[in-house]
Amino acid sequence: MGKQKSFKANPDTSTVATSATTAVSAGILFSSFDDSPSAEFFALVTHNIGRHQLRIFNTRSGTVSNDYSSENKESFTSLSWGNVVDNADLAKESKANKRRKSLHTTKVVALGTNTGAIVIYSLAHGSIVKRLTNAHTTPVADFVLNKAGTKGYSVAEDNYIVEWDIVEEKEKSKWKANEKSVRKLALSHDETKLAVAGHTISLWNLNDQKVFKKFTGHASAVKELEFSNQDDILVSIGDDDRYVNVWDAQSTNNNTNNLNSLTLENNVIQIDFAQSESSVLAVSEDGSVGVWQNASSPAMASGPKNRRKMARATTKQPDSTITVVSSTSEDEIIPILSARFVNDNDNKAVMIARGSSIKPSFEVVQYVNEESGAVRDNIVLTRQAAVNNLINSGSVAANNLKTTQKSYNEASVKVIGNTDFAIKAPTMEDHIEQASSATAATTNAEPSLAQRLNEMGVDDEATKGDKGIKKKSNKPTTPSAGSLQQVLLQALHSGDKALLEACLTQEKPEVVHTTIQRLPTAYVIPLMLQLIAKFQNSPGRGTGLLVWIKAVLLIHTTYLMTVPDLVAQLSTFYQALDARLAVFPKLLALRGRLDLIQNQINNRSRYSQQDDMENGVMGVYVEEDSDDEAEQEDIGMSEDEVDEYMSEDEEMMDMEDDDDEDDE
Amino acid sequence: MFELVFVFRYLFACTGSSIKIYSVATGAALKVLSKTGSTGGHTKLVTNVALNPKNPMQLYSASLDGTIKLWDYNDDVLLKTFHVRQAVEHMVICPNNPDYAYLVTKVENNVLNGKNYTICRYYIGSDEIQPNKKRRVILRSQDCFAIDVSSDGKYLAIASRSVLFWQVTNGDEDVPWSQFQVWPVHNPRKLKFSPMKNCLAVGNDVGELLVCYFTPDNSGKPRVSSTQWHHTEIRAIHFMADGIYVLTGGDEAVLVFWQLETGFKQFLPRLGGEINSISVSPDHKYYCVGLADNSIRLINSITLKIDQVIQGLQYGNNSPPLAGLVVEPRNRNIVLNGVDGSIQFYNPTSDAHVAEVEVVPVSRNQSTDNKFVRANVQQTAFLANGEWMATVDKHDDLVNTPEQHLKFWRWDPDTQSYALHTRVDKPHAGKITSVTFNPASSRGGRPMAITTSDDKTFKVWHFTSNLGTAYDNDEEAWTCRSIGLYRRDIPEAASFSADGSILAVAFGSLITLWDPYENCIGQVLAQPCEESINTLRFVGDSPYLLAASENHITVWNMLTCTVWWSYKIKASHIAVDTLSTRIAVVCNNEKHKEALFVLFDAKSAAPLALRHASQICNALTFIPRPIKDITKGRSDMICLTDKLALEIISVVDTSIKPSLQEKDTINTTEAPLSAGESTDKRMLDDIFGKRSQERNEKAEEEKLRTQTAAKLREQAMQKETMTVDGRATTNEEDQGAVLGAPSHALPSVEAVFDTFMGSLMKLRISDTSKNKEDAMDIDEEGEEENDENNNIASSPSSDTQEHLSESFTLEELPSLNAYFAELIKPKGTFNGTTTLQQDPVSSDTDDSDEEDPSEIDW
Repeated sequence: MGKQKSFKANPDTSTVATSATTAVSAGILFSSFDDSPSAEFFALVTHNIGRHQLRIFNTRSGTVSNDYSSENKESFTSLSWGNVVDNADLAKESKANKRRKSLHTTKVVALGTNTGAIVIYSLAHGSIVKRLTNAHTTPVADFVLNKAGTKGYSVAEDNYIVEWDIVEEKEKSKWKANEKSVRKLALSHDETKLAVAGHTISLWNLNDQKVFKKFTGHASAVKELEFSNQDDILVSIGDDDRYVNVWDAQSTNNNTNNLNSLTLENNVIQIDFAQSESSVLAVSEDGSVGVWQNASSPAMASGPKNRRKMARATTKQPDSTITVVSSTSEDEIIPILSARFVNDNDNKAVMIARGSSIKPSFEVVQYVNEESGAVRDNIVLTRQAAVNNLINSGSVAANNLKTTQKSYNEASVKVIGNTDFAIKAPTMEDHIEQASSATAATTNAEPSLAQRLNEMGVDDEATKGDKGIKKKSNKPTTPSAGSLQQVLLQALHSGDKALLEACLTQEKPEVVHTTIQRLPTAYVIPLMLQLIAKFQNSPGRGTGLLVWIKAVLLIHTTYLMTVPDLVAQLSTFYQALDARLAVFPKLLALRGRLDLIQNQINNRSRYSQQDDMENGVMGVYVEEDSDDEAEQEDIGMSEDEVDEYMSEDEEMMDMEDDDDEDDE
Repeated sequence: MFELVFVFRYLFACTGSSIKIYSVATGAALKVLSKTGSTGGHTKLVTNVALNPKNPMQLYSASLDGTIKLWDYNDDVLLKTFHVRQAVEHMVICPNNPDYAYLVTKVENNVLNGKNYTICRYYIGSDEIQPNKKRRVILRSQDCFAIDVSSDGKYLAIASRSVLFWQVTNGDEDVPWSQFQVWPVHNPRKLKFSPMKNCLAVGNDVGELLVCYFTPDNSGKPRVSSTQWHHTEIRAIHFMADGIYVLTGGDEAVLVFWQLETGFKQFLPRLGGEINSISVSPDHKYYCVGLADNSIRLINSITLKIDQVIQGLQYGNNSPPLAGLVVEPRNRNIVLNGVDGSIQFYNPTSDAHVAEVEVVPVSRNQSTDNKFVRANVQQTAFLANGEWMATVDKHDDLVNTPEQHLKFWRWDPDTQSYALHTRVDKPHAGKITSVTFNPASSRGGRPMAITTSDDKTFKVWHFTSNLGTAYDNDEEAWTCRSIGLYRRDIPEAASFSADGSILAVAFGSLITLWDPYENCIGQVLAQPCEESINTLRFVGDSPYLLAASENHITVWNMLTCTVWWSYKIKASHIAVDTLSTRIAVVCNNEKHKEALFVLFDAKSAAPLALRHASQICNALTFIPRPIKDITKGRSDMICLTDKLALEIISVVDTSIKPSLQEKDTINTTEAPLSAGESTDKRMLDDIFGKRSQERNEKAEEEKLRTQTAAKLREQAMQKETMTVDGRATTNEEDQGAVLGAPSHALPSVEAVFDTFMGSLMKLRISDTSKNKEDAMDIDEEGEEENDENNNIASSPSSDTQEHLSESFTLEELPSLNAYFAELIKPKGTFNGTTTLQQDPVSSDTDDSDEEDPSEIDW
């Protein structure tokens, strides 16, 4: 231990060294969600070329809201969120009168630097609004802000704790910490306690600046600290440690043993305490998140091993774990970079950041079942692995525009048309399913005639049979036979599509009539289904097929009435007909209009001819007479036609009226 | 309408009735001036902002409310208010003569000569002078599109029908017409003086850029050079500080840089929307354009790339948005219509644009005549867990066949956005009136949605893999499951109960209840009034069903299938909280531009809270609050005001706190900004909590509230008597209602015929004694019915009885009800039974559905 204590950690490098797997592979130095209940922002410090880069993401829209690079080789050694009173002047000129009372606070990120200064970066202004200097000379290890944004505490590698007046940007007081190589600070929610952690954790009472508790137990340097919302519990994690230690942080007792330890399968890299209840989450090195519902009342819940006396033995497995796997391969785990409790879904949700450090994705995961309220113990999300991490040369704004503007994309769309509506018969869903499966069985499972013949081993006969069919199919084409019944039966029975087509090309009413009339009732429905399918697939064949459909419906009405699931069978056909008929009035109207125009043109040309003739040669009487007669006939015809259309379709009248109005 | 002013690294933009200060670096709104009218802000649109040339820490703002205000923007303090008393449309301040502002003011409908616009010089200096000398009228005109003053303050140019040019003279008297030069530049729309030379750039309505060079001594015509690139009106002109370059923008979404001397043009295309205003930062680092989709884009002048986008609410019409306000359940964003063919996701609490989703592919090309009709999103709906979104879009240019698509979008967790999954072409023959998801399907069941349409049907859609032969077996899509219709009425609205087991569809004035899985109708409820229902919602997870028609709102209790309470109230918008049983109703008063918010609990007819707002509410919805707060309930209300701002209204339940007030009060945190930007709530809460003025207002509000409550109660009472009267006298309608009941609910014709005809025939028999007997019989039945219908208050019912016995022949028709009631009673065929509550305002005419509760086994 002694050796370890003397080891002076350079936070810049040590962070990298300790958070070995995921975070480093992603190139992240520090990352943190902001401290608002909905975790709207996520700050990320990464190595950029020659300098450190801070990026702040809007978690809800997935856009980059800020991008800041450190100046003149300053590197960042700590990252924390907070609010400060916004008294930044809008114009440079007024820097003289600095002391201004303002009510608003703005969200800031406080960054400790290797030069011992603390810079406070405002999200709204997009610039450094405050710079706290002249107290530390060594790199700043950690910094915390109070809620009002008036006070802050920092600690550096020189082990001095400094209390800052943020408004004045001045050092208020300074004292030396007990520990060596202090790494972390945590301020309690009532702002009376400060936890200072190196390898051990000491709790300071800020009123008299005295240590009232000291927790030992971490084998390695403490990596992160968090107070519960009632300030009665402190949770901490150490480097290369898979335990989350829970401490009693109350100042009223002297309990310095850890109450409980929560354990994960892998080393823990980040923890968070829920705002309203005593739930704790921890992100492990392998990129999964563990959630413990009740961190403070531990041992009982952890099951049979209830040995409270041996503090170390009371370990607790997470109530719920969240992992993200790649959609391409089950084994590939997409690492969760950071996680935080958010207030969605009654505070039972966790916001996770996953993927690469270049473009992390954010997602809210609910860890309780919506219905029962029970904790879901193993949550596995399947997500696409982030690919294409090439840095886009476009500006931040352009990229943000790209993420927020979702252009219309029909690449993977399924288009459902009017004819695809498979309407179920009312209240008889089960029957239909049975029926449809039954029909499927008959159509699919039943071997064709050729197969049967093969089975029977009568190849020769089969060929003969084929010939026979050919003969038969030749036969009905001769009108004398008058029926295609046999061929149709064969076709339906064997599922021979070509043969069926051959039958259906026949359009002569008598032939169709007699064929259908002789068709056994068992084949009516299969024929009907075939017809409807063909009718829907190729609308162009409608006229030919309708002859057949009509014949079936007319002749076999009585049988069809007895079919129980007729509605289901015919609904699509009905839909298709309906859809097609919807165009009919319009076409009629168009035809009417065209006829009208055509007539007008004819009349015009005729009148003009007439005029020409009247104005022209006076002498030719005979021809004019004959012309007149012909014209009268023509007019009569056309008028009749028009009348016909009128009576046929009222729609056309309307349209014509419209037309007239338009003309006026 | 953005007017942009740069200061240092900050940008001032007028958005609605307030002024926002944005950081150029981050695009975040830092400050808001003129937050509310009550705290000294503007009450109407701010039209212009200008820095005070004397003190760059101060800012003038001009507004349509007829005031010019001077602000200290650093401290957020209102320094001075000038009352012009006429809506200020434009304001320019000459930097060399900062005591005067040139204003264009407008009076609506000047009857005398139609000269609505007045151009005047207004004294805004610090000296005290007589009020009548403050204003000097320069010109009265019918049109005025723009005004500008040259940088040395010697010339003034006005864009009226043609450009009017005035050499500024001093004095207090009105300027005679003879001092004006009328330049031969017609239909100018925008004009700007060059900062360096005697030169005026004018943009006209056909897109020409006309540059007029004039000489100070020459009073004659200027030398005009004309160039054209824009093909429609030039909407914005800006001179660079050197006077050599001019920037113009218009409908093409292209920023054009003109080098005036050479006529050289440079273009910056694809800016994303029509350009409405242009500004350049003082250090020339940014060009800043205000676009028609209510966004500001900062363009880096060196790289000519967009550096920053500030996006407000895109919805820009002053009418209720087609798709309304819908809450996206996943992130609690507000979803509403954006630019044509797209919807916008907006975060109301942090006042930030989240995303824009294009629902219909729309060509952004402009036609010259601007008659091109674009498709619009008509409806949006979300499944309760946010996995599915449904949209309906429609394109109808009245020439071609109308196109309508129903689209289902699935949440894509990878991109954290909605991706189009199924498109249904021509889902209905008519206009789709509503889309609703079955809430139960979010809990594991098959997702189900319902659309109602003008084609007199409603369709049930479900997500299935059973698509038919044309699709592969593993393909999944939304397809129509069943079609429902009822008596060839038009369904206007539909709603699912919270557990998804009941589907209520409103056909005309009837509410039909269906089993969505079995496709069978269960019950038909007839509204007390004949108006057709336009809103139908189950209230939270309660048995109450809210039905609203044009002039009435009615709450039904589904356990008893009776009217629980109802009001005669002309509701403009209604919102129902999904987490509680609260109902919010807004009544707009178009004339006075006022709105009245009434908050009800479905359990009782007594309003919980009332609030008057001095602006029209265009849409209203409840949004779940992220953090539970005992005093404020679980949800806030969000309304879209006519200033195009989203306003968050939270209801404070003061009864929990031991406070003086007994009732709930509605506490508003107003976001007074248009362009739809609401402000930080905490900030305002702080302010509101500390202002004594506010407290006075609250007291007043309280007074108002009690008054209105009384009024409402009176109204309710009136309504009660009205309905009772209506029953007593106009029973003929009742008969219609009886026979109007669904056919399956009626007894068979044979069963009714004899009694029915008999009752009619008997009246002809002039045997008085028999008649009396009959009358007695019928009286008894009538009494029975009245017992059933407790809602008929006792006194009028006794009146009715007297009436009946006295002159029965005139009042034979109630007996029909009685007969039918009698006939139906023993059958007990319905699932739900009807017990009428002792509610003073409830009424029910659907007698056919009523049964004696005592005779039914539960």
